[in-house]
Amino acid sequence: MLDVSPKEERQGEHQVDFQPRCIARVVAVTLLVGLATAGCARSSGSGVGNPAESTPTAQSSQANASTSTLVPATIVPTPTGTATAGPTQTANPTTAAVATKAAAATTDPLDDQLSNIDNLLNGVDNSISGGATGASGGE
Amino acid sequence: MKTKLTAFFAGVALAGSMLFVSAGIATAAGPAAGGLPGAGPAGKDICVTQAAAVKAGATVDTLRAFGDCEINRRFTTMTALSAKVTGSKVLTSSDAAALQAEISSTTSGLTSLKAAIDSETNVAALKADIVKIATDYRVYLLVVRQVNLVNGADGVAAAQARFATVSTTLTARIAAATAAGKDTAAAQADLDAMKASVTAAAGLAAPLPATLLALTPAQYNAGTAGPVMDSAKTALGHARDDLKSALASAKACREALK
Repeated sequence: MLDVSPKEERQGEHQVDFQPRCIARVVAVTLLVGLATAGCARSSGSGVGNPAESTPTAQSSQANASTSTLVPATIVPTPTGTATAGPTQTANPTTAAVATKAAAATTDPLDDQLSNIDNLLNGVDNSISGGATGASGGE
Repeated sequence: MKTKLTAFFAGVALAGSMLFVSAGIATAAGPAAGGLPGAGPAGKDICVTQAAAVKAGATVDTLRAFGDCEINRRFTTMTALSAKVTGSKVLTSSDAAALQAEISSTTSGLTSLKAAIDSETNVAALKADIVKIATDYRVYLLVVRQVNLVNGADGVAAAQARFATVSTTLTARIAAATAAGKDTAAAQADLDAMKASVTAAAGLAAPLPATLLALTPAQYNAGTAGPVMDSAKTALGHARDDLKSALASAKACREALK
């Protein structure tokens, strides 16, 4: 049978006490980081606000906050602040242009091609009118 | 003497008719005339005062004023024509160069004629010079029409190139639709019709620039250039109609694939 001294027993109790405290600290730190991340996301208006995101993501959103301030209205923050995070969600000034390009990409290229031909035909029409004898100038 | 006077007034009437065929001048000058804003002073007011003065009394001064007015309005037309050639997006480089050369030689000739009119002191010689303004250069009956019709013919060629792109696009779509199990017979028929119309239009327009650029004022005076230009205008009109038909076929093809 193993003899355990009172001192050792106290040490064991101390170790047992230490584990809940450690877990509590980890949980507290995690919550703080999460809250900080969410807070930064809201203040930057970037829509990056997933509490589960890692610290680098939070830093990214903070860095982008300055961009968002410099170029407002380039992106509309989501009301819930829970949009998916990541570099593509940054307040990039070219976001509007990208959106425009995306919209243009969905346009049928045939529309432009046929429109160009239509314009050419209008030019031919005008040339025919200008080449009429009515344009004789009285000669 | 009576014969000379008759010839003179015929010349003045010829020039004077330029004034009263105002619609024609307006067509040559206005935006509707192949985009030639300011190609020539348009309207009944152009040189009317000078013409009336000649009719009231044909002196050196009145004839010179009338001749200068008629030449100046042709200078304005030449400037506008040159700008049209330069700004054209459809003229080939060789056709543009040929037209610019003609515009340049016409302007140069009119400049020399104006100098002769300004230094002439003989009424009879002035009358002969005034008639030359029209007969030696045929600015409105020949040059303006050449520029417009050649530009139109080259426009048809440019459209042909654009239709080639459309054809490529539609061919790919028909292939994709066929691969997807869709019936593309109607679309293919529309595409074939488009190609046939474009080929017909190109065939009509292709020979026109060379034919038109070869025409001269002398040929016009001899009565041979006018019919050639009329025929070219008719052919260009048919080519235009063919291209419009081709455009409709292209749109029908696209709709058939939806």
